[in-house]
Amino acid sequence: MVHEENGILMGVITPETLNYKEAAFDLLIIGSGAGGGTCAGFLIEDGMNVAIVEEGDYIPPDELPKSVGEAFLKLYRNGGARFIFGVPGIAFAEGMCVGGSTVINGGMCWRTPEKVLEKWKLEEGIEKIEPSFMERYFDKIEKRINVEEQPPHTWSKAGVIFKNAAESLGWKVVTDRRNQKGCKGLSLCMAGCPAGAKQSVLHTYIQDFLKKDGTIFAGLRAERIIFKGNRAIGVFCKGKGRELTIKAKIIVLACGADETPSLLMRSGFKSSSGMLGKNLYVHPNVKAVGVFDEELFQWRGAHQSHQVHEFRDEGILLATAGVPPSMVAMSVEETGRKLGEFMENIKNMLFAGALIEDTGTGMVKNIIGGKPILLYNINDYDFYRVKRALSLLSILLFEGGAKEVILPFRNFKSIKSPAQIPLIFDNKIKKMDTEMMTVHIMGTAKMSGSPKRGVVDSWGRVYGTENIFICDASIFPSPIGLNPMLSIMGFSARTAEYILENRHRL
Amino acid sequence: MLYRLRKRIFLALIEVLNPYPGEREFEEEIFNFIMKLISLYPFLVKLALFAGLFFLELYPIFSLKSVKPFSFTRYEKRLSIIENMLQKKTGIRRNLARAFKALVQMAYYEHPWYMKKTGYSWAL
Repeated sequence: MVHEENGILMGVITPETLNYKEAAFDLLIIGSGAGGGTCAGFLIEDGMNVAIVEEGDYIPPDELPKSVGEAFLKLYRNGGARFIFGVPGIAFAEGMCVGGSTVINGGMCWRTPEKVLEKWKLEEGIEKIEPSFMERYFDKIEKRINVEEQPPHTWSKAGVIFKNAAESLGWKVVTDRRNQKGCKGLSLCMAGCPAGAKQSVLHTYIQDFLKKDGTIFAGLRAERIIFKGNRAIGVFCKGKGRELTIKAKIIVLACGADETPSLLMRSGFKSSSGMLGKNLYVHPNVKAVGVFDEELFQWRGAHQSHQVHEFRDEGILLATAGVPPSMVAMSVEETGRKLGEFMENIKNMLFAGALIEDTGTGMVKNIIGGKPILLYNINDYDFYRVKRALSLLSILLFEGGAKEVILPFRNFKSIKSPAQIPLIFDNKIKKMDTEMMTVHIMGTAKMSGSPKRGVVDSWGRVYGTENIFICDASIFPSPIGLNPMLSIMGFSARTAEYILENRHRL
Repeated sequence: MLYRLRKRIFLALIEVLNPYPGEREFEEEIFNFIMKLISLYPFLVKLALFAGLFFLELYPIFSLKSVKPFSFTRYEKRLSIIENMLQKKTGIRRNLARAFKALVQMAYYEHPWYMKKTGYSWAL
């Protein structure tokens, strides 16, 4: 993977193999996930001299972990344990490896909804984001990462129950579109897909990038951007005791909605809009678990196969997901032998969840050492929709034949019949007693046509700088109400194209 | 010395949080996994976890007027301490107990032995 050219190492370079302290490229991308990896893939196609810096390690696609436990140690930031502080506290997970969260996500691929693009154009004055304009990026990306409907032979028994129950209620249910080729239904998407079926950025754009002699510095954290006036001239990186300064004419930040604003803030950059680090949306997720008489073995089949889109106008998305047993055990109150008894029934459980398109916002702040912390309080309207989503999930699970539905409330654990569903709306159930999690954060460096309202312009360039671009979910002005991977990739491709067209002027 | 103390407290904790307590060798493996996981956490989180661990060790002495620290008390007493902490409505003790519970159960339910038993990695 590593080769030498004029005494300079190229390919995947780690702190252990790094043999120089300074390097220079035309363009440097910080982060290698949906945003950075896609941007790199598009830019290298045109022959630019591009490098990527990634804080996590490079794990070759054929060496990905075979269990979620091993994946937590190798592929996740902080071993999978991140937290959004607020009421309620929200558990949060993201990838930290070459390929980023695309390596460990469920692989759902939805184009940015038209109404969201129209809203951004109208409210933020963003140019050229009409669905007809964005289509060519989505077409190209979907082809490269092999997006297709999840084939029926991979649906789990739980997925089929979910789909049939939604249809019997007359709700709009869709088969997931996922980036996979020959899915074996192992339900190990969270471990990076040991079957090699998931077409993550690691499997696609990163491999294209390496084949075209791109350089990846893996295991190095971008500590700060070096500025000269309004221009960024390089980035100082550190990792495992090694230091490296990388100079570049153009710098692309793609570290995610937490690390991107954090890096700008610790580099001393201030946005004139005052919006850097603010406008954090998190798509709060809640789960409901149906307990069935029959054995379902939800993990025997695709991690996810269907979503209910009936309530998207209300900002509610319902889905099933094969959750690893460890996540289940961590999220219930029981412990010791009582937990053992509870977990004996896991094969009879159907895990369903709801994603809320939130209306409230939080923020990212840096603490000592320049590390970001996330602060977010769910507002009353969104909490009402959390309860509404749980009531809808309960209706669906009872329709599917569940004898009990376990809820994510500390003081109201389960309901045993549809007649008990109204109890979910009881005022005694507080935000603090509700268990939530998320894997989607966005909005902390929002895109806007006006420097007074946003951090980046219509093409992702940071206002107040000449040559820094952002290619990740932090640019989204509002939540999109769907899994955001394809949206991130589409906007990154759009920014990459803009850079290629204007590179001599940047 | 500090490592041994830490290990003893963790093993006492693992025993009460495990669904099937008393398998010493298995509990050692869980301890090793937890140590690997904690090594990935940010410095402040590590600090808070280890401070919490020693708080837990001294908790029976200061709060329950026991003469024995947590890791020396019998199984039933340790279980009741953890269950009481988990049932607190809010506050440090509840969060601390939840953090330890999450760590131990992550390690237990991701152990290859458990995965094999449930057939989670069924096709590999």
